[in-house]
Amino acid sequence: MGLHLSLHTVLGGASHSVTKLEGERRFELGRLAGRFVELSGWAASAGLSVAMQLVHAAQLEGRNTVWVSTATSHPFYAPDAARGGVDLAALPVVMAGDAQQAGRAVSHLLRSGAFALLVLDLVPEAERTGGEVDLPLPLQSRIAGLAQKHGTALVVLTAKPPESASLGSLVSLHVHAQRVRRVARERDAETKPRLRLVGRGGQAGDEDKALPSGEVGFEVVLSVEKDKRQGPGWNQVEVFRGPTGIG
Amino acid sequence: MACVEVPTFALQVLAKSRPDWRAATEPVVVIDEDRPQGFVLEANAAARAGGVLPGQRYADALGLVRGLRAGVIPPEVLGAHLSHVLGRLRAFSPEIEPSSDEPGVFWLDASGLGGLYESLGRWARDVIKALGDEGFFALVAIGFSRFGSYAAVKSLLVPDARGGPVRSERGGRWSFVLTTPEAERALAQEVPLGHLALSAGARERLARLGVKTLGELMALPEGGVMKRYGPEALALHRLAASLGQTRHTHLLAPLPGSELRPEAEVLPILRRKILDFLEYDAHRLLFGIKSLLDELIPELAQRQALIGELRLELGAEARGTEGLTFHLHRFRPAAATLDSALLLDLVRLRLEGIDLQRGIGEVRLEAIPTPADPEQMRLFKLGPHQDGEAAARALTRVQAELGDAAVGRMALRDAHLPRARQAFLPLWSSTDTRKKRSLPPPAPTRSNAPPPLIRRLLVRAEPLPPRPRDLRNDGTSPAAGRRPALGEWQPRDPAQGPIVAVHGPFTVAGGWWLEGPEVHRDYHLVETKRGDILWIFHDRRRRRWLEEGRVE
Repeated sequence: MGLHLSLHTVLGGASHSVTKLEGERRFELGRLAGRFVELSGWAASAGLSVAMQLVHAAQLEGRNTVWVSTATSHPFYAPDAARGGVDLAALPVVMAGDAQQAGRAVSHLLRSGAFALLVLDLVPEAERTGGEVDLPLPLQSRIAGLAQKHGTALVVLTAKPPESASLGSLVSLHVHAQRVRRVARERDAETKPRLRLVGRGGQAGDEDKALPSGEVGFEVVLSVEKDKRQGPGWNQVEVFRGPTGIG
Repeated sequence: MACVEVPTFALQVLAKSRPDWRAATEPVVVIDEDRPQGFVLEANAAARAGGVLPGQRYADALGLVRGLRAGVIPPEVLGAHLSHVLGRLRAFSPEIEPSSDEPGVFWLDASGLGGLYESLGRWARDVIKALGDEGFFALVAIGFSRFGSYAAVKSLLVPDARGGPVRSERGGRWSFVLTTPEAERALAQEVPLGHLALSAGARERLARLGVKTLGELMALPEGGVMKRYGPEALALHRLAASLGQTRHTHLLAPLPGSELRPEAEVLPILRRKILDFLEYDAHRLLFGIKSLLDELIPELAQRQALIGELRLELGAEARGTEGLTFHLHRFRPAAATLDSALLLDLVRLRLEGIDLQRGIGEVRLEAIPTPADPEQMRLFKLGPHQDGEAAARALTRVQAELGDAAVGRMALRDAHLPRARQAFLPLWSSTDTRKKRSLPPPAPTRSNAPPPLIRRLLVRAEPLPPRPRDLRNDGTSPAAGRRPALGEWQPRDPAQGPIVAVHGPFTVAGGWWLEGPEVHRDYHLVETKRGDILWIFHDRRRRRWLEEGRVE
């Protein structure tokens, strides 16, 4: 009898099968599993902040994360990460000497299958060398395959202008993160905290999350330059708090 | 604490399986594999009388005794008989611990049975009789500790000419009830070392110095035992030395550190589902089976057990009758598991080949559990990407390749200067000598506020280009000479465009209490025309503007 059942459908339940395409078009950790993601930034870049937000999301789910940097020091400002709720003790940081060393470290870490998210920060290396960092294609092939095999979200931070080409053909999703404008806090008649755009007109991305009093928010647009699954051309807006002291 | 021993367990199993052999009079041995190079594991009295001893080659044993009969007891057969004996013993005590080192030895909690048995001696005799009905000869000793009762049960055996244990009655009894810890200790001292689970090599080394009983071993100094006879003899020495050190007034109160570690009884779990309508579709049927399996797995996990076998009974409509005809399907995963995906995959494969045209009216799903060790349960309880030990192993590999200093974690520090408020620390301290390192499970904090923008520090603070003079400043302000003229001041990278907004200053002053130079810095966040947010400061002592980092 030629019956072919899809175990994935059975295990995943019916909710997956009825998910609409729009729902798939979200830049969030759950949709990055097993993908080779390039997160670029330029000028008013917000790539580092978006990556740290992913780390926080993974930690909230109790999953292991790791940060691989090519810097000799200071991959990110730890007090800012702690302010965002990230558990620094559970975020191992690997300081590789250069991109090649970082690539080998990434291979080791991905092969373990123990991490839900691996952030490879190539921005300091780009600054050190004064140009765009090039990951060799064989290395990209290896780490993309390992990420896919173990369901790890591999996020590579790069510095490049918008609408630039991605690191290579193996990149599954290329997102450009950029701060676009400031938002401020105001209260409506019911004293419900809301976000108000300071710059040009429009709506802030997430009104459910209230800015603490005295803080300024920034709207960050995630522009999808390349998406092998859903196709490019869609955007997502997120709101971030500005660093302490900015008014 | 009671110790029940079925002596020469494998030999008794062999005798049960080969009733045609007259094991009481003929020489019989249990060997590990049926070939001349195989080793003798156990030998009966007749074989011992002929010079055959455990540890000899089967070929050597054949040369010593004519007509030697030998058999192999596979581990699964031995395990099945052990389970059978264990099940029989459960009628006498709810808490039973089978020995993991010596098959046929069990410890039972014999406390609280006064209402059922007139005396402990009667209880012991009933145990012996129950096992005798199953065809096993058993000995029982009731003492105050695990090792004490174990030694006592060994004292019920008498040594043969070669020092090996032989079943025999001691004073006409096959059971022993010790009344005081001192008596337990005294009895243990008489036990020949040949009766204990000591390797032949260690036993021989001890015998060379005339140490043949446990009491003689206890008389030796502990340090010397380790040096001369190794850890095996030392462990035995320590166990023996611990006997009778604590005075107990209650007969069955266990000695400290000698608590029973009972093995949980694992009973099959059955779930059934009566379908409202006859089911002809395998896909929907699989969903129904999944819901039953999802009920079974948490219960098994709570019992610290894994599924060794899954039995699926499908009740199909019988032809010509109103009832259902059940067909049993068994699924045995390669290893006991709680992985529902794996088990459902096996069920799916079977369903693909089943004819469902008659319709299924009832589904019964039975899980046959097997006990799981804590490590197995730990792995099953972990979700994906939550194994801290696997993460630690991977990070150790990276450390091995890139150096110890390459792997660490960022940590917060109490300091005045922003740069000093963080530190890169080793992931594990050098004094951490745990056997297994593990990445700690994350404990992030939740917030309803939007996430913050993250700054990145430069490797070192870089000087900014000279600040253009602020022509609007009349020189009377305290901030004179420090506030930049907006729109004219260029950052380090001209591509960023001029600075168009300044937030601050946030002054940090300190170090005046130290002998070194005082620090006085005015930190600012500045925005460039291109949109960059830079983190800069004015160092009063050096009279320079420097860039500390930027927002990314």
